[in-house]
Amino acid sequence: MSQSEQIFIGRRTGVGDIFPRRVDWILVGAIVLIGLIGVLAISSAQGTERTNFAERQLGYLGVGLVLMFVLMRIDYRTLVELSPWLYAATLVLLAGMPIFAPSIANTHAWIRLGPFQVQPSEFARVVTILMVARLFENHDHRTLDFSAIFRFGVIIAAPMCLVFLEKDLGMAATFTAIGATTLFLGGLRPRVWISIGILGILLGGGLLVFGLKDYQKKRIETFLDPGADRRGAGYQVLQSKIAVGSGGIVGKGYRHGTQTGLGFLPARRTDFIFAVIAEEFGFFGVITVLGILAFILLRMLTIARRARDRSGAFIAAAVSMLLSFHVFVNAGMLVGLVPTTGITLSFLSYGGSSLLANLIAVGLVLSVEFRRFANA
Amino acid sequence: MRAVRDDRRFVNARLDLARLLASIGFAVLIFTYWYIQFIRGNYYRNLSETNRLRSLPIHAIRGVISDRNGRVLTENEPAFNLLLYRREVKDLGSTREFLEQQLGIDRQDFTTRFERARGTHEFVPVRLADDMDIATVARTEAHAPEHPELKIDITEKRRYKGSPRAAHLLGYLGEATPEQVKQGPKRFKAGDSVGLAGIEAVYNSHLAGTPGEKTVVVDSLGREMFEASKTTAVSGKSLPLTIDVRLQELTERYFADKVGAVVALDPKTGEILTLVSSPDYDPNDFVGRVSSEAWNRIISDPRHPLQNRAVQNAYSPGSIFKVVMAYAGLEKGAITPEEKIFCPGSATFYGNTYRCHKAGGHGWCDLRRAIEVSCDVYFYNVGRRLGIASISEAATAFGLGSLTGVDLLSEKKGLVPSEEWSRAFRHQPWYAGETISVAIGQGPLLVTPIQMARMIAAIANGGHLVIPRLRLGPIDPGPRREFAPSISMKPSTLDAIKDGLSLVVNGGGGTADAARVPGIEICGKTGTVQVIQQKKAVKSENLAYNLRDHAWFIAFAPRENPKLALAIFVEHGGHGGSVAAPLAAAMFRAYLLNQWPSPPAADPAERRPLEAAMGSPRDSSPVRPRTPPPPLVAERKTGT
Repeated sequence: MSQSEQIFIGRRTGVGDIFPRRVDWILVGAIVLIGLIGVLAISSAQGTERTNFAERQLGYLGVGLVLMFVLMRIDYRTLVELSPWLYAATLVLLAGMPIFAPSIANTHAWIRLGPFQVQPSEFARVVTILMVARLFENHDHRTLDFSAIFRFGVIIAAPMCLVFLEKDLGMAATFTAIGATTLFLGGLRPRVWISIGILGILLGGGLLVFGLKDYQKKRIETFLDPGADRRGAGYQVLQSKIAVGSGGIVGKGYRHGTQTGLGFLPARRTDFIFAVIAEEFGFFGVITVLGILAFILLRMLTIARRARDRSGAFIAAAVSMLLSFHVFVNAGMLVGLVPTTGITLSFLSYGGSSLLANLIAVGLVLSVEFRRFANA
Repeated sequence: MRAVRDDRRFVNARLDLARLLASIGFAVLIFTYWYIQFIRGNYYRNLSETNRLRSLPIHAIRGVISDRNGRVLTENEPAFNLLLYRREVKDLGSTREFLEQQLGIDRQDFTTRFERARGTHEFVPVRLADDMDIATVARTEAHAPEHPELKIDITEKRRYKGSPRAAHLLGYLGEATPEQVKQGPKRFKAGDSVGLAGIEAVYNSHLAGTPGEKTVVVDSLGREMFEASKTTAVSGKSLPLTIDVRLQELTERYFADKVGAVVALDPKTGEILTLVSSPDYDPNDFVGRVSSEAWNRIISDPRHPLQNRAVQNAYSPGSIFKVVMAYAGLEKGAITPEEKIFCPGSATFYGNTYRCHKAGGHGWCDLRRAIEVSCDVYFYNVGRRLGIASISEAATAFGLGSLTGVDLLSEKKGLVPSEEWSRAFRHQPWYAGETISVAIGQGPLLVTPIQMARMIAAIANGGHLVIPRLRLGPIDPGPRREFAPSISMKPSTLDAIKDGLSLVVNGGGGTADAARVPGIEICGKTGTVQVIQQKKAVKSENLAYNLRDHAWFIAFAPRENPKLALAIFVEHGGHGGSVAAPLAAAMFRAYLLNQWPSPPAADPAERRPLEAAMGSPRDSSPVRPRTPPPPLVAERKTGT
């Protein structure tokens, strides 16, 4: 690590100092671009509220980009080494949440830091990725055996269960994306894949068909997510489909979305921000945004492929897959491909914790790219 | 360091697979969006144009106010408001014409309300009319198919029962100002009612509850298709007051033709049993929007009916201040209870002659007799011996010059003069001669009726300054305490003052003979305040109304274990003993002996015997008689 720093500091002149070649400037540019599109969409979704959300988001974006560059300059391997400590601290914080965090919208996911509300679970995911990466580094078998699956499982399940106890279900579900990445990259023997599939179908199906009576299902639903309102959810999807569909090819024009402006869209600056874009910029807006997101996520997989070590590969791949999970679930939800859940659209949805944590994660990926050559 | 990349073949192969899967995922997403936006675009565009969402207010029912025995003073009755949904207006001209011609909503009013709603979401309604009559409601409903943009909203409005009116105590409601809307609870809108005076204002958040809201999707005829979201309203809480409606009513009836104020309280707890200010107004006139006629009538009344004289006006105390003087003289050692001072009918101090109210003088008086006959010369001497500093110290100890902390708005502090005050506010020194005036409650000394009630309560309860309050139940935690600091008082001081006050009523020669009630030892003190400086004693009744003296009477009873303390003030009422004392006697007789006066033989036209007998909770008569109707007979018999 110190070697790489010395080499970098040693070269004091040239264009490379301002735009070091080992920084993935195209990826950075795409991130800045998608962040700014988010700010514009949030500004359009501004209602009669007194808070200027777009301005705030712009502030978070600025702070997040600085954090991203700071993370890039720190060797990810140092962080991977430190990850047990970070992980332990995160678990302690998460364990305290159901007790100490105030109940906001039926969850205990937020703590107050001065004027800001921070969602620790967003950052917990990044730390979990680092912790898994550390184990992954030392696992050089062709496939995962059961003891390895168990170890990885415990590491991912611990923070996930704690987030579940905060009653933040959507967030808890995203930890499965980290789990899936681990199984996928670690590799399983074909018969294990098949066993998992059959077991899942049997368990899920059996539980739904035989195990539970209707009222029990309802009870469990209400217990798990008290805010859920079936008819309300159906209404939301209908309204977001109207927003997306009525946008047509070129859209209704910036700030001219009737669905957005008239308040038909629920949670329009968070979960439904992409519907705002689809309504106001039409299909062109949709392919532009999805194109940029696809570029970012695929670029991260490329970085994973050429990372210098297994932990670096895992970090880049896990970040990519975690963000992909958000994109697919959120964009799919708006058009009814996926059931309604409270999953945000990475980089675009309003929210400081989410944006900051995502940019920190991107910083880790950039760090992997920065140190991709052995001995660099 | 480990060898790099040699064990990565499998990982890399899987990453390639991940890339493929992600690409397929994006392709599926883009295809779906393409399908919805290209193929189904027109369908969804149609839907977006006919998408009608309405926000409907869900009103929170305002809490009911009752007296200490649970008798209700207010109730709620249905009212109909007219709502307009702007997005559904097809032709603003025809809507406006319909409103003007069929519903009598004038153009100006419509424009004002329409403009005020600018900037709010279009699916939030504009309230065009409140409390419409049934005929107007029916006309609106009959034209519903042509005007789906209009909706009748059923709500509740406040109804004050009117007997007793308790107007200044209850206060009234009015439309919330924009600032109040900002500070108010969520979903609280312009045009909603808030308490603007009295209990309604002080406990507005307790009574008001939190309004709810529901969002419905409607078809092109304004029919509800389904409910999209709903926030239920939280009803306001009911509020029991400390007052006793029977005593309140008795007092109001007595005061109907007088100007002034009465405060009666429990001397041990400070619970206000009666609070009257006269003239009063009908709080029902303020419900919804005040008609300009009613507002002008109230505002132009020279007697200022909106003023709560019990707490918002400060007056000279006159002779009732001699209670404080007696306390100060005894505690400071300026006099003893037994010391006698000769009253020749006037006395000279600092070169000026000060008259006693009795031209021939009272002769030799000790403290008890001086209080009984309200001898001015005796208290001139006490005042001269004490000096203004000791007098103002004693007055301050009795809570004069400071707020009592009663749960009403805009309470006045009154004024206790001192040398410092004189220099700071009048920019002139304090003259020794003024001390002589202050000694009999004249001069620059101002008190409110509620301060006087509290002062006499402090004598009654042995020196505790209670905090008067109207809300029944345990006191909220906070700066309010059951008792403010006690006034230090020797038992002999208390006894001497009480003896004097008892003689005032029961002595035979006292100034308040008219307050005597057989069977109860009432202690009291009259006061008469000159409005103009008179060269000679002139009978008040011979003066023009606004030059007549103000009358005071303060009293408590029974002497041992007191249950009721009161202060009565009659503006330009003449002499306290003849005007105010009879009311005090009636109040003590009623409250302590449970002897309630029979209701006056009312004008048959004013009575509504059927309703009164049935105890109908709803009073539909639009015209309220000036004098409150007699109390319900059945109600009085159930009293304690």
